[in-house]
Amino acid sequence: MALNRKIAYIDLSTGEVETAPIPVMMRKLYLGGRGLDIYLLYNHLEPGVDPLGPENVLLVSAGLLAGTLASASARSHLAAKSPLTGFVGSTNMGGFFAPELRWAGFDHLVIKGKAESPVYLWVHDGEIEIEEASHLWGEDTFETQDLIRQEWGDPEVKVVCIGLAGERLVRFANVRTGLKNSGGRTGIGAVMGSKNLKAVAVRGTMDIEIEYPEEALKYNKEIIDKICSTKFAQIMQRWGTMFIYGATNSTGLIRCRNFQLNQLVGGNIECEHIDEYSIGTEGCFGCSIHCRHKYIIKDGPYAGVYAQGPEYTSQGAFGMEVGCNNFETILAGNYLVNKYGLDTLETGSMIAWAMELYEKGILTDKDTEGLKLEWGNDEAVLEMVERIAKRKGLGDILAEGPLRAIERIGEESRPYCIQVKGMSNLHSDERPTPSLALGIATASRGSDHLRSRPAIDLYHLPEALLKKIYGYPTPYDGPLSSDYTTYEGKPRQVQWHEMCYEAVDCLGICKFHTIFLSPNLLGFDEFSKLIYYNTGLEISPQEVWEIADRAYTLERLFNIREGLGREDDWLVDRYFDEPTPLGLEIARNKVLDREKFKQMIDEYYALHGWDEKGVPRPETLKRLGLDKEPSHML
Amino acid sequence: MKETKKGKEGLGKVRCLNCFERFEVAPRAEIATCPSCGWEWRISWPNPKLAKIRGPVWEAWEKLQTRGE
Amino acid sequence: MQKILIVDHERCTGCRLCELVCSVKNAGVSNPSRARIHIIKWEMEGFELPMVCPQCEPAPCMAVCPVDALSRDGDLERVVIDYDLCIGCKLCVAACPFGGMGIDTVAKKVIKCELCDGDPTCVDFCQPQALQYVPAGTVNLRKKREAGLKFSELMRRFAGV
Repeated sequence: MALNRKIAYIDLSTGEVETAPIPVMMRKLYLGGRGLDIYLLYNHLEPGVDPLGPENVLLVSAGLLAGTLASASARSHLAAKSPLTGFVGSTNMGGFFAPELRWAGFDHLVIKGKAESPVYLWVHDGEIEIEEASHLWGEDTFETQDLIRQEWGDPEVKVVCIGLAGERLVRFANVRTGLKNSGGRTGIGAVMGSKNLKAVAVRGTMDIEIEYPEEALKYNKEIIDKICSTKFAQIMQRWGTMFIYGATNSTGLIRCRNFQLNQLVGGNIECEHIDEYSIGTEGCFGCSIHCRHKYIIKDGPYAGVYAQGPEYTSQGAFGMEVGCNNFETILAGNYLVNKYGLDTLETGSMIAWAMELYEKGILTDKDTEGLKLEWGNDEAVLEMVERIAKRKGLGDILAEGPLRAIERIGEESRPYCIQVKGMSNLHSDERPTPSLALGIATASRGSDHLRSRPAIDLYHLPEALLKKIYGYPTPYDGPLSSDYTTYEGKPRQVQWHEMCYEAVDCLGICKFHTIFLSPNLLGFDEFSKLIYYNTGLEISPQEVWEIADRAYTLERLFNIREGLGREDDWLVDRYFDEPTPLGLEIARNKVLDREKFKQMIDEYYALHGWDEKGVPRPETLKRLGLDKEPSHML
Repeated sequence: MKETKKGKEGLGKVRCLNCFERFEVAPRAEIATCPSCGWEWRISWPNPKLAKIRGPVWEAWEKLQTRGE
Repeated sequence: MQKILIVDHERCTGCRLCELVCSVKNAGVSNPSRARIHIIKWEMEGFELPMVCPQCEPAPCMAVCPVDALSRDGDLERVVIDYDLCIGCKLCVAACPFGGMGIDTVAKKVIKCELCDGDPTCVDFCQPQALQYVPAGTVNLRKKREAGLKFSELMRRFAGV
């Protein structure tokens, strides 16, 4: 059956490789992907180790339904202790790697130790070999993939790799597959670099058995039709995630010039501009939304470059956050971060922060070696990307990520650094939206919009619909409000989306297929059916929730073991003290209320069964079967 | 292309970001004014049957923004 | 009217859903190496092309089969394999100019697209309509209409017509 995939333990220090089956019992507890990864991380990692030392453990996995009939079943997940935050490192990406890993016979790779010299893993039809990679060291993420394919004479080989940034241990280096797909957050690329692991290459021709093929086909068609009939999907098919900017910038919910403005007035970087550069769109495995553009840059130093993307995040990173109002800068920035293997979000945030410090005189021309880090200086922004990737000058300091860079630059720089748990925030302004603010404050991997963001809160949905969504699959009869500026019921929304996104990260389905940006997409009922038709496992919607709850609580336990406390679930002062200066009336002159925010956190902890310090209560651990962790079952 | 009843009803409708009222946009229109609150929006069309708010009409936006202050 | 499977590569988004559903429909498993259709990609150039048996007439595979295991099914205008006759010599695989005739290494037999008996699953799932199953007589005018649409769009934009 579809579950018949193995786990492999690979020790790069000794060169030993062991494989083992994954018991069905573990599937029932954690499904796969992110869920099983956190179990493995919690069980195989010693607390307190240096994330960039050989003791860190790297997990590479495919979601339980990757490669099956679950629509966009393309997602892989990577985990380790994060070199950026020191807490759970976790990143998820699409493309074609995850299905290929499963066709090669594996679901989870547990990678330990450190190779003496650069290597890559070659995973193919049940076999795993450690291959020499010195010739690949220094190559960018596009070349690396191509060279490995050439080595095996097979264009179908799928590769996850790091670029220069990962090799140089930039703490927000990402992992990359294909031209665009990136596991961006929490610096997993640096973990690979620290292990001298340049890439993981996979190729497989083994069957993934589908338990009920006829029904699975029929059901897949049904959900694809459902997905594609939504307005959201039709807009995504045309313009990708950049469409979000239309609404958020219009309202005043974006961040501009680090955190000084919440709108780019007269902005010229709307998604519609991609039409001038696009030669078509591409989809990840099995996906009918195909949200990424294939584009060719027309002018400037990168004229003629072919790349894919960009996403909403790059619009922020190389657009409004750095005060640039030039679509080509976004296209070029997106290309550069992908080439070097940098998290676009963190890169843009670090540059925007440095620009504000430059404006305030905290950084000077001496620090920047004469580079004018002024808002809207497109060349300077792109030059800083190079310097970060290559760790040159100021780039070397910024490459250390928010908290270490603050230490190097000085305490006076701290208030301007917009981060949570040492990870930078998405370039959205959450001051007018308490639900979104709570999400980034509490997210297990540091400030993040993909852990729990209740984005549909912005849609002003009727309360009856909110009750229907948030009252299932576990009961909730507390308040809910259509007004996104209120604090009412928002903790439940955050918790609900946390569970929803955790579930799909375990399954390997794209979040954009779920109730994330449209209320009419997949939820727990659909997850349950997809699991059943594809694997034969009978897991009710309530049980899917419980699995997500278990995995998320284990992430919490991991973080607590690494020293996390309630004070880490908090936002920087600017959210509470500086009112938003721009936007529509609903978003203008807004700050978050400290007291109400504290209450939301209390409520959020209570919903999870955590105490007022954010520590899971003994009865919660018992209910979720976590009271005996680490249990070393795998 | 098949046109369902539902599809026809939703044709060219957008929701005003200022007052949250839904309103109909004339086919191919590039600018539309919300009948409820008077806010002006630039419109784009992901496909000929679907309208989306592209952004504010910035000149009008600046005028409206200062009106309430 | 006789229908044919046409490929419009400009619409293809390279998602490979066709490979997945083809292998599930025909082999009961997810395994693109056992699918009858494949998306061939030039990843660094951003070009993808679905490749599938075009049901040639006359068909080289039929011509080289030493035991007449391949025949033309007149109703659906397709080439079908009679596995009772097939001796697995793979001459057809060698003769096919498109790679439309393949080898299923698990079932150990040659495979080709047989149009799912007149209801191609890949077409059913191809949301961008890169794959279409249409009456043969309409193909020419369809293409002209599509090209005309692009032309009129350009005229409107640049010539103000």
